[in-house]
Amino acid sequence: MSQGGAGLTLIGLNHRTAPVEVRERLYWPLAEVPGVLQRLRGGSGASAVLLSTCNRTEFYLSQGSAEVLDLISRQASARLGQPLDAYSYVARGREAAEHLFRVAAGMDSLVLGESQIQGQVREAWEAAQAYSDAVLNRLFQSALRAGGRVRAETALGSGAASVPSASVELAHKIFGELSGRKALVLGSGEMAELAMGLLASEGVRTVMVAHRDLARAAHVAEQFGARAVTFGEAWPLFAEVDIVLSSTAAPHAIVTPQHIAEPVARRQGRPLCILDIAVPRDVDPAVGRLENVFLYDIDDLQGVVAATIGVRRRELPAAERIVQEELAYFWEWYAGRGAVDIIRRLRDQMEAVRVAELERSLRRLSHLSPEDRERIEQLTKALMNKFLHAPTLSLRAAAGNGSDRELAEAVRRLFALPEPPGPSEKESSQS
Amino acid sequence: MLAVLHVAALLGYALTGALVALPLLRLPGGTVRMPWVLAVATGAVGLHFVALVSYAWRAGALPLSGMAPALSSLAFLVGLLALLVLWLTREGAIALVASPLVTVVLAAALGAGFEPAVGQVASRGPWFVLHVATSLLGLALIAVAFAAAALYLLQHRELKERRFGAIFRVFPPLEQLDRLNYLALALGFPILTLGVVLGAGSMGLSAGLRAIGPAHLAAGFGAWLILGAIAALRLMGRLRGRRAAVSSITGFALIAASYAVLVLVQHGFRAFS
Repeated sequence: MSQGGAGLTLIGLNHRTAPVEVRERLYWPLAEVPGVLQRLRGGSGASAVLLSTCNRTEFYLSQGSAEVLDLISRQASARLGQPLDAYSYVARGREAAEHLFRVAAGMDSLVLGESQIQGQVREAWEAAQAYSDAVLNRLFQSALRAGGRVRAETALGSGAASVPSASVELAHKIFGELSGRKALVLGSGEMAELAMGLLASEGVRTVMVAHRDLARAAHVAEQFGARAVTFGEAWPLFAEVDIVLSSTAAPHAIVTPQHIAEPVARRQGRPLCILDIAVPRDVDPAVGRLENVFLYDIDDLQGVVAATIGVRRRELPAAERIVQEELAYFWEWYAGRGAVDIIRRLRDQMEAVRVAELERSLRRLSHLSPEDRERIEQLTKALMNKFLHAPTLSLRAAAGNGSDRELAEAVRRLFALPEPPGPSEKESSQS
Repeated sequence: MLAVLHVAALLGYALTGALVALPLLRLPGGTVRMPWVLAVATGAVGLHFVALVSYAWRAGALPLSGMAPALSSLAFLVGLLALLVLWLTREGAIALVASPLVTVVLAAALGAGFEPAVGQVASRGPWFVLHVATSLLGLALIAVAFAAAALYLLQHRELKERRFGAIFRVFPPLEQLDRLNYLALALGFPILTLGVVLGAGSMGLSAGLRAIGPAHLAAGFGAWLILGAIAALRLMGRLRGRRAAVSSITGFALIAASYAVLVLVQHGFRAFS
């Protein structure tokens, strides 16, 4: 299997090669993926898997002939309203496989090590089951295994890589299990709602939402099944809740030690996590000096993210090693497939010769006992296996380094093997 | 053979600590690999158990009497409890404190030398055996409370000072450490108390209560009283978080110091006389 041939191929674009306005036009929701692949098969007979996320759209083809690539390019360009070539890339053979392995491991993501991509790769493969084939199935299985190993064996996916998830991580580091914890939200704002949504998904219960405008507070409270209160009513709640999330539009600090020192003193040593994601800050930094109060502002949350990215970057060499290991396993299998046919035909031919010659000889040696005949048969088998051992190994090795085509042709000529079946004949025999 | 087994266990404990400490060095690939940590820690505790059993086999008595066997048993119990915490929480950080602690105690045991005191324990009667066994278990639990408290203070400092480095990532959440500290203290103090009562009873039966000297009363009873006050405040919910952690460390230090004084009074002075 030559790397330069029409074997395993990838064509696509991602966040590095295309701006968001291009990516969003070439994004296919999962439900539409089977239809796209059906049209592709109808037009070219190609087996393919389409991976389409907000950061990439990639077609993986087991046989990426020029015609198939041209068809994909034309259809995508039509959807885009401009030529795809300026944004797309094509990778073949081992390079295409390596790309998918790195994608599944989160090494090619916009946010290094993000875990969502593993699920998206799995979903893309599952959605393409009817349009996939043995090569693509094996490729995606191997890529998912590589991704799983990278997550399990390295810290590439560890920590929080966004400000809302940093809020959750900080709360985790104080309380451990967040289920059943109570939160108070001061003000509103997109980031606060995002962070609160993440905390709610961890089982945190928003009990109160405080805002200068009670109607606005009621609107936000409704989203989290909480009650709306004014700021004045919120201060005593600092004695009860575990997490305070603050994001008001106030031009100065509204939470001061004077407001909350007394309620905090009544907490009997229970920790209080205050996440101040407002700019300018809502919480007086002096609040952070109160005992058992853990105060974090937007810079701290970004600090958590930066620390996570730093850790993830340090894990890249370890992740790369895993990807290369899994890629080697896959490639050994993939390349070996090219040698299987010629080895099988060579063995069939040799076996036919062995059986014919054995029968001819045994007819002349009718005086031999059944045991002796059996011994002679075993001898011929052993000889044949010995003779074929070295050529078999050479063919497999050649398949591994991509030089199998020339060697297979030489073997076919040397041993006068029949011509290999044509593509259509091969397809029908495989099915 | 006894020393070899102990040295192997000691190396296992040290390796467990090193595996957990690796990510703190910020090396590439420095992730806490819990399966390895658990395997090495289990191996170390297993080897240590074999060492203690072989001591008991040779000595014909439990490894409770004599400096080296008692220290080795104490190290084993701390190791076993730390291993239990590792298995239950899947948080390796406990090994950062438990591992050096066990290593030092075990090294001290090896330094003292294992000379089986044949028949020594049996001759002192079952009350003495129970006294030493419960005391060691109580001490081991208080050592675990100390380990949790030490980790708590470090993580507390990182969180308060907004440092999000290796300690922040590797150490368990504050509340989890606080719970572990509470549990270990709540179990450790009553067991230690039982040990003290059994010790007094055993001494009273063998030599009369008057044999309990002023050193025992001052150091042992004093430390026990302070630890008791800490445990009581903890159980009543009056002490938690950072203050509880500081108190636990103080309590452990007092108990360790009192044992050192008592050992010196009982063995050291006599040895020099």
